[in-house]
Amino acid sequence: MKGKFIVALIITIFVLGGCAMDNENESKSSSANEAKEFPEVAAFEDEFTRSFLESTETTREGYYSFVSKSNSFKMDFPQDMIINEESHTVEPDDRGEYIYMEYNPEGSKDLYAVRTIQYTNFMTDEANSKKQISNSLDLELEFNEISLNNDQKLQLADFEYDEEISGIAALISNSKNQELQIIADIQCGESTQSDTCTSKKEKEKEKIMEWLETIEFINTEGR
Amino acid sequence: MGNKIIITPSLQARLLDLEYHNLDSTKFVEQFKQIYLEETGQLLEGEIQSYNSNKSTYSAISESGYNGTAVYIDTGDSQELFIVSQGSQDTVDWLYNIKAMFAGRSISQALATDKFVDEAKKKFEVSEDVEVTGFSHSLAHNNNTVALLNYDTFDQVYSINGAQTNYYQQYFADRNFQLEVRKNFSISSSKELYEIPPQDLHDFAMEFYGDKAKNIHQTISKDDPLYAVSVVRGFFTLGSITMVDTNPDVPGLRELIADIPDDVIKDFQELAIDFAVASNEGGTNEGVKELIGIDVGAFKDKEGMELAGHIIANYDTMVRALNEKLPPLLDRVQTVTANSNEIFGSLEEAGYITERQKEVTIDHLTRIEKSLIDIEDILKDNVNLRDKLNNPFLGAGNEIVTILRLASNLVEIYMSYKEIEKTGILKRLESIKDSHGLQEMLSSMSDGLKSYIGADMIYTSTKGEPIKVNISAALQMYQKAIPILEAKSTKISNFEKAIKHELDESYKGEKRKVQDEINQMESSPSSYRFLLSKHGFYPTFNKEIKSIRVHEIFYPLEDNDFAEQLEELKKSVESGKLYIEKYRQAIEDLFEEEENVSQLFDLSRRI
Repeated sequence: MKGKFIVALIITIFVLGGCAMDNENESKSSSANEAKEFPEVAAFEDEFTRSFLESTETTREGYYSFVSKSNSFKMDFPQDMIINEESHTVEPDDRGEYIYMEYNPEGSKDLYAVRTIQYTNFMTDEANSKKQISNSLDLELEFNEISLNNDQKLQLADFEYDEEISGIAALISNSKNQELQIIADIQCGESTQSDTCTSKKEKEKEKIMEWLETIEFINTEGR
Repeated sequence: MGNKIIITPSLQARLLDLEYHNLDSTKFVEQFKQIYLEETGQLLEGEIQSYNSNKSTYSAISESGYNGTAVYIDTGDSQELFIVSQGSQDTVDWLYNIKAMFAGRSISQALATDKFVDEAKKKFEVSEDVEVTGFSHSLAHNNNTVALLNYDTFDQVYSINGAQTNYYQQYFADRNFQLEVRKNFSISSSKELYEIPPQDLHDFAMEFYGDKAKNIHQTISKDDPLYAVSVVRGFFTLGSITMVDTNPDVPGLRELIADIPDDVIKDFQELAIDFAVASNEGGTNEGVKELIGIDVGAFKDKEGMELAGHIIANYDTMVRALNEKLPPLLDRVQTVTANSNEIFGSLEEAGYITERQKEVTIDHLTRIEKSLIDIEDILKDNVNLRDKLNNPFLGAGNEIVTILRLASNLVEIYMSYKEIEKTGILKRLESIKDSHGLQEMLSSMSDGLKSYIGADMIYTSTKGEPIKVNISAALQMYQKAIPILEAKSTKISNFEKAIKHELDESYKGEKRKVQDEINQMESSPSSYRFLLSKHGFYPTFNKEIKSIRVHEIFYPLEDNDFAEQLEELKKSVESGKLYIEKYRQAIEDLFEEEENVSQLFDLSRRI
């Protein structure tokens, strides 16, 4: 039996010809990951965060081009932030993605600021999405629409969680049921003096505002 | 508010079971009322509407993977909204969600739950103060609880055998909780989260959600495998808990799992989930296919040339599947084999498996591990060689060696799998799944008179020899038989009318037409002169018809008396009604001490 088995294999191998296995290590085109040397910034030094970045070229000072794993949205990513790997999720059929960004813990301890992005493609009603953001913070938030372009809407609400923590909540949506629920908080580090804390928080808020305006849905046909 | 809707554990279990049947709206409401009547002895009156998520006007919700039905009940003086939720249905979602839940992550289904409830409220024009109650089984409990904790979606959540919430999941999903954890434990990066002693984080979460937990009510089987895994780091069980021993033959898995390290459990869970989910869909072969990417079922009953032919014909597919599935599988298998004595020893000790099943499984898992390592090495060598030569085809010699080595290892794995399967261990382990289901839970909810078979309610008489009566079926038969008999009665009367019309009336009509024609001929014979033409009538011969006399005989219509047959048909309706009433009487007599049986029959006709 074994003899026949081997003969059959040998004969068939010529018929099979060049049947090839997938080479998993196929090189990717111009991804940032291909570069031999990365910029010496937290976003590139963290391997997981690096996998989101498109290029080692800055989009503007301190920011790199980021594309979500669901390929649903892009933004300018701050060089000194990293993405938490354990909490990152991408769901089937472009249903959702969750991103948790924070400053590199090895860096400055002046501020602890976290930005979370919950992407879904099943937004129903704007008021409900704003309620979800408010409930998640257990605050009554007042949203203001600040810009309207390319079928994309950005609504913002400043919040003071308590004496220590403040921040900005945002809802970015479009007419294709895509939405991004974003909460960016700011907390001063323990060593930060209270007088410098206020100005640091203000500066961080400005950064958040600038960053929010770079977020864009990637319009894919047939979405 | 008027009378509130009564919620009992068996009512919950049956409603959840109903939800899995994916009925249309009318049927769902009808069955809802039926179950409510059987369980509470009361008729659910008022306006009842239902709305399924797959009918959502927002295609986005129906495509979100969320499955549930909203039921709005307006009794006139009270209004309530119930949301009966399923976990995700298809294999891909199940797999994804369970994995995500163990890792403590995805909350998008909880977001979708909140969006669906919001939509249902708008559809039924429900005011904000109307109470919203969620019913959930399995994964839906995780969704509903997260929705309650994070978005205040529900006022109350009732669950059976639910997948518990996870405080790591909540840390990322609920910003309020996150900020409090950060302040309380003075952490300044997410990495520090995992350095907090799990018990401290658990206790903090329990306290933080203490108030909301008062609105969560869970019924859990001690034998439910999900309950067993909730002992793993990260999970916290919220709300009032009723524990039920649904399988008294075994002690449940929780204590066994408590002794096994977290990372081992995680790998074992993933193996078990992959296997269980796929085999749930397509049997054991599908389960193994999910694990190694190869359909071992297709190997069955093949030997020699046929087996070789099969491997060769599917060589490309197999290699691709193996390449993809192998590395994670090998990791998990290795964790399990390294701890196999502990895992299978505990299962044996607890009576889940026999000693022989344990020994054979451990032995063959070790062999499978060895074959998997060999396959991994073979694939690595092959890929490395291609890279080195920069050529997608390595030449016949290399490919032959690769195929031979792969084939022999695949056969080894298959043989080991067959040996494990032969011991019957897979079937025994599969039965653990039953303890997660709603039917085993319902079966355990028997109390003297009442028990369940499937989702049907059974009464057992206590007079003399016990007689089991399927009350659900009896009530449905009673409820449906009367309208059917009435419909039959209407049809008989229609038939009677049809006979009269089609036979008697038609006969009279035809007779009348003939008589009219006769009268016409007799009264104006001259107009029938043309009839003489065939006897040689020409204008030159001046002949005429002076008189026509018709000697008519009309035979009476025969065989038109259906009175006897109609009587028989009418009798069959009467005897049907009599039979149904006798059937009802017999059941009432069996349970004469139960006053509500008679009432159940009466009320069932008003559903």
